[in-house]
Amino acid sequence: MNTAIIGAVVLNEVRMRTRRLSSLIAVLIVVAIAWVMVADPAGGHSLISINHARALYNSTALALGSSVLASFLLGLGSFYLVRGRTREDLRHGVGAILATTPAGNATFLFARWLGGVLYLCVLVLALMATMIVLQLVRGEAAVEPLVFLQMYGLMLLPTIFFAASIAVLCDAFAPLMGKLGDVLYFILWIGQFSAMPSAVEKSSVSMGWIAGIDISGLATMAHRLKHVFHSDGFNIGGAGFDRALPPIVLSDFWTWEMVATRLLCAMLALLPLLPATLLFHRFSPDRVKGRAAGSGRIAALFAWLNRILRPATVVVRPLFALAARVPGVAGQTLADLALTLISSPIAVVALPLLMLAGTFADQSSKSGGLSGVLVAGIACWGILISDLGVRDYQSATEPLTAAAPGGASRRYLRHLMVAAILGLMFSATVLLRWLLANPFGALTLVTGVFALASVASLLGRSTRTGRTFLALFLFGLYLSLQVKDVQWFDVVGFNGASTAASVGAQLLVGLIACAAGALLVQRKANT
Amino acid sequence: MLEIQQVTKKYGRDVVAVDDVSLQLKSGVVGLIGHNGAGKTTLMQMIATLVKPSAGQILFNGIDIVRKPDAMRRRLGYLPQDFGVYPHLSALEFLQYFAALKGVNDPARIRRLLEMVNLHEHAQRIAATFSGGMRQRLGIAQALLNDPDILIVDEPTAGLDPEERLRFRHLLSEIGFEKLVIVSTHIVSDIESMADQIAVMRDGRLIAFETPDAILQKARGQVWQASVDADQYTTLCNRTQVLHAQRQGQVVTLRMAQTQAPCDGAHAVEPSLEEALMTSRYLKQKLAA
Repeated sequence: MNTAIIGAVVLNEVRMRTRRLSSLIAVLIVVAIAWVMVADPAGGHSLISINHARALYNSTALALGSSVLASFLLGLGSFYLVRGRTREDLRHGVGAILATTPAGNATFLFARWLGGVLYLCVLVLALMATMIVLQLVRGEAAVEPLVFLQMYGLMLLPTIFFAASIAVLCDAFAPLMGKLGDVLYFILWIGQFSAMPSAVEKSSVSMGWIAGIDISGLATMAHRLKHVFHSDGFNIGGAGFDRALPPIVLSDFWTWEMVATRLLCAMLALLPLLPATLLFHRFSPDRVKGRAAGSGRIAALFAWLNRILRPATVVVRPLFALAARVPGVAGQTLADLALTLISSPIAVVALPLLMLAGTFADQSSKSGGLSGVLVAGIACWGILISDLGVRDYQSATEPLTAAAPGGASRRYLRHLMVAAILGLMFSATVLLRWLLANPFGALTLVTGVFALASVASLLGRSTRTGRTFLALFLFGLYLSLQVKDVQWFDVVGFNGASTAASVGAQLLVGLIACAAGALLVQRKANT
Repeated sequence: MLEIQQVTKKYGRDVVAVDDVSLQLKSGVVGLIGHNGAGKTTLMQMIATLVKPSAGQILFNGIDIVRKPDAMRRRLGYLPQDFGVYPHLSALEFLQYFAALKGVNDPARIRRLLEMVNLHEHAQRIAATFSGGMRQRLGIAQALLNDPDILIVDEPTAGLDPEERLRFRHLLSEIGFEKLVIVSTHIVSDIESMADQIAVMRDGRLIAFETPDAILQKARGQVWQASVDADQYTTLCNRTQVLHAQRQGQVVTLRMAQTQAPCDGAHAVEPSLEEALMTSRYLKQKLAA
C-alpha cells in the first residue's frame, strides 16, 4: 500500500469532516449526552448501580458506564455519520477524477476507512474529555486518564472499526449506496444484541466464542459484571440506588482474556473491507451514475423493485393533471405528493395493502393486529420520507423549484405537508378506526406524524442528507418496540402508552421543528 | 419591463459579488458576459428571485420583486447552468410536475414544448437517462412552460453539440422577438448571432451595456493581422496582446490588439465580437497600467 496516498486521503477525509458544521453539532451532542448520563448522586440517581448500591464515581466507573452507553449509541450513529462519502464524490463530480488516479482499490478504501475511524475517534476523545471534566466536578476519586483510554479503546474501537468498515462496504458496493444500506446496517446493529441474553446467562467465567463476535462489547461487559458481583441486578445509565448502602468501588476491570477477545473483535470488524475491495464500483458509470448514485441504480434492490412495480404508478399519474388544475399551495402540494409516489412505486403498492390489512386487523390484539399494521405503515412511511426534504438538493433541481411561485420557503412547507399527508395515508385505516374506538390514540397518531414530519424536514434541510433522520427514526422505532410502557417513546401511539403530556410535548416539538426549518430557509434566502 | 436599480450583492463583509449595477431591459435578447467570478450568475440569481440583493431594487413592470417575488416567479422562465432531473421521472412527468408547480393547466402546451425541443419521441423515457443535450432541451422546455415574459438562461449551450447549439440559438432568438431573454455565457459566438444588447461585467461591476455593433465599432482599427516568423512571434507576444495565432510551417499568422500597427506588414482587420471584447479589455488594462 502506498503510504503517501493513504496519508493524503486520510488528511482530506479528516479536513472535510471536521470543517463541517455537522461535526461541531455531533461533538456538542456527545458532550451534552455525557453530561446527562452522569447523574449527580445527590439527586438519588447514579450512572451505575449494582444490587441497589451505587458505584463510586472513580475513573473506572465513569469510563465503564459512559463507554457502555457510548457503544450502544455510537454503534448506531457512527455508521450514519461516516457513510455517504462516495455519493458525495459522485454528486460533486470528483468520482471520475478519483477513479483515474493510480490509487489502488484496497489503498483507497483503506484510507477512506481510516479517515472515518479518525473522525469517530475525535468524537470519542470529546466524550473522554467531557467525562474527565465531569469527574473533576462530580467525581469522588483522582482522575486516571489511562483508565479512560484503556476502557474507551477496548470498548469502543471495535464498534468504531465495524461501523466504519460497513460504511465503506456500503459506499463501495453500488446496491448498498442508498437507503438499502442504511436499513441493512440498522438490522445488523439490532441483530448483534441477540447474542447478549445467552452471554449474560452463562455462568462460566469465560463467554466462549460469543465474546469474539460481540462487537459492541455490551455482552462482554454484562457477563463480566455478573461474574464479578455474582448478580444480574446491575443498572447502567441514570439508575436509582439505595442511599443506605455503601458505594461500590470498581477497579481492575479487564482480564487478559477480555483484552484478547476485544482485540479479536477489532480484527473481525475489519472483515467487511475485503468484500468492499472486491465489489468496489470505482465510480464506473456502468455501476454508479452521477447524481442518481445511491438513489436507485439498476443494480440496487430497491431500484429493481421500483422498476418492476413502476406500472403501478399509473394510478397516481393523473395527480399531476389534477394538481395543475388546483390553484396555489394546494396544487403544488398535490404535485409534490404525486412526484413522491411516482418516484417510489414500492410505496404505491404498499399503501393499498396496508389499508386492506388495517381494515381487517384485530383491534383488541396488542402485539399484532391493528398496532402491527400501524408499525408496518409507519416504518414504510419513515423510510419513504427520510429524504423527501433533500430530494431537490440531491437531484440538483433546487434552483428550478425555488424559481417557481412561492420560492424556497413554500417548497419547504410543501415538503413538510407532503410528509405529513403521506403519514396519514400510510396509517389511514388505523386512524379512521381509532377515531371511532380510541380518539386519544387517533390524536396521538396525528400529532406524532406531524412531529416526525417536521423533524424529518428540519433535519433534511439542515444536514442535507436523509440519513440523520433515518437513523434517528429507526432507533426511535426500535426503542418504542422494546420499551412499550414509556409514554415518551410512544410517538404514534401503537403501544397505547401515550399521555396528554407526551402528546403535548410532541406537538410542541413538531411546531418548534417546523418554525426552525422555516427560519433556516428564510435566513438562507436573505444571505 | 425589467429595471435594475443600483443593485449590490455582498457575501459577508468583504466579498462584493455584484457592485452597484443599474440596467433597464426591454424585450429582446440580452447577452451577459464576463470572466469567471465577474458576478453574472449572482446577478441572474437576483433577477430570478433566488438571491436577495444587499442593496438596490429590481423592478418588474414597476413591481419590486424583492418584496413581491411571486410577481416575478409567475412570469419567469429560468434555466440554471447546473440543474438535474428527478431520478425516476419520465420527461413528460418532469414537465407535468413543473407545470403543476407553475400553475399551468394546459396539457397541450407540454406536448407542444416537447415537440419544439424535439423530445416528443422520448417523452416516456426516464429523464435521468438523457444525454447532456437532451437534458438541456428538457430544461428549456421546463423554463418555457408558463410562457414567461422573462427567460433567464445561464450558460445554455454548454455541453451541446454544434447542431444543437445552433437550434438553441435560433430558439432563443425567436423567443426574444416578444420576450426578454437574458443569456449568460462565456461563449461569445453564441450571443454574437442573437443578442440585441450585450452587458459586460467585470469584478461585479457593469462596465458596458451596448449593442454588438457599437462594441465592434469601437474596436475597429485596433485589431491587426500579420504573418511573422517564430522569433518575431516571441517578440510580439511580449509587446502586444495576441488574440489569435496559427502556425503554418515557419510562418505564424497573428491577430493582435493594439492602437497602432504593432509591426511591419501588419494590417487592420474587421474584428469579431470576441476580439472586440478582448481588445476593449486589454486596452483598458493597458491604459490603467
